[in-house]
Amino acid sequence: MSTPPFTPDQLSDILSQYVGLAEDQQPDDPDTPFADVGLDSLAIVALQYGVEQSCEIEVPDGDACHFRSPTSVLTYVNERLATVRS
Amino acid sequence: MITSLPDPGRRAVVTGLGVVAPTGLGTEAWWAATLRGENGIRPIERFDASRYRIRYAGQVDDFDPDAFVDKRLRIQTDRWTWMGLAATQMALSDAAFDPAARDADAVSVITASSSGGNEFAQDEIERLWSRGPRAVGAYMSIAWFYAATTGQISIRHGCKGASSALAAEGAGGLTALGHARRTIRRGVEAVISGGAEASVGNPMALTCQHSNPALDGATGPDAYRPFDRRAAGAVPGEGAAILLVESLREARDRDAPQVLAEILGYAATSDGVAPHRAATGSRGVARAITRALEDARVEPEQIDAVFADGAGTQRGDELEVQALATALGDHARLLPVTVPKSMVGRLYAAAGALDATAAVLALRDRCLPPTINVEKPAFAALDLVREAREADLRTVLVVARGHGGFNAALVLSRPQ
Repeated sequence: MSTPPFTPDQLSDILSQYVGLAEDQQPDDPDTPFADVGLDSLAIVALQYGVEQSCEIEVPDGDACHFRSPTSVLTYVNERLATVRS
Repeated sequence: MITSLPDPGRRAVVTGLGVVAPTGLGTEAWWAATLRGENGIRPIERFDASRYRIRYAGQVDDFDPDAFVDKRLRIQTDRWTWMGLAATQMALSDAAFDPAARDADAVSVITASSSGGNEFAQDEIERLWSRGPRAVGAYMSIAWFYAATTGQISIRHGCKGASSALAAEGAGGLTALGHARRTIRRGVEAVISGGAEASVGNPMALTCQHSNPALDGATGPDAYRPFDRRAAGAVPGEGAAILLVESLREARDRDAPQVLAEILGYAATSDGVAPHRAATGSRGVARAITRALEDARVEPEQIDAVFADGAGTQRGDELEVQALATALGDHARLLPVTVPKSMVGRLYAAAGALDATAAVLALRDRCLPPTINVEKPAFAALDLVREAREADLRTVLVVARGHGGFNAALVLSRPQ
């Protein structure tokens, strides 16, 4: 049985809980850079932290470059989950 | 624009007030409760405090941070900062002062803090101990440090003038106001000043306060009784008091709706014997009062009332009475003295600012607030105000002490 992927809904929950970005403040287009919705570098660290706590993967500090937009986070986390599984 | 030498010709006045206190949310609500002599001390119930020596405190039960702080800011800040932001909003509104409409470099933020974001830190420390360092969140660094409230106020309102966070324990609130006046004199037009503290709601904060014997074992909500023969200790409290201090010239130029009081004089001394041992004499407090009067160019006879520190311990009260006698001479016996903090507890960094706010409103309304819980006054020569009292006040003295030897005194007058 395959582990469910990391979904946009899960990301949305993390953005709400750990960054304080309410659903209606989150971008409709998942390719929108987080910077465009006002997330600064510390907010990105908070997002990385939220992913670590929720997904039980470790996010090395240097991987912040993968947290530029919702799409990039979804891609990154799903790739990491696949690596962990295999 | 900022000069290195202060210009004493630039006068500093209070034009707006904001209060978050155990007996009232909002300045007028708190002031009305204060004049009524309402006791805001209750058992600590936010967590199980039964094993702690401190079990009573002044708590702000109905404070809703969502009304003042959006979620993005709320998750990266501590309760103490929420209170500071709320009181700031109130003070700016009260003064009809919009920092966004001013030159950013002309508005400063100077607040006092005594324990930083301790509640935020409590949660993060629990995570650290139970799950290791990677379980500590991203915002711990900026939520806890003492400058967080000054910083967040400055960011939210776009104030880029010379700003600071001052730590002088219970004297900090007066120190912030004294420094605000100094900063006005150096060329800044307005200072958002005062103090906030929220350290009665979590185990870590209460543990830190165990080092102060003056807070030992209050046995009930009326246990804090300054200048009473049965004085046996004080209780802590949480809250925020923010005052907008402006240059008088600029306040007039912009037609400020009110000029409530002038900060005439300020002084501070330090005389702790050791971090956890109080001063052995009254000289430090007396010198702070004397110097504040000299700074204000005011004679003792011109002081109409004293908002005392009111340690609520026999030794602490004795030393304050001695200090008033030393600094004010025979006039000390004729002076009404009051300790409105008997109703809310000792608010640490907010204490001096809240007392200054009470002094400003006493000047405005010509009415002194009472000291509560006093049944057997210990000092026959002290005119202790135990019920709200009308008085034609022109100039008042506020005294504050902080654990560890901090002393500060502020002289306020009706605007002229």
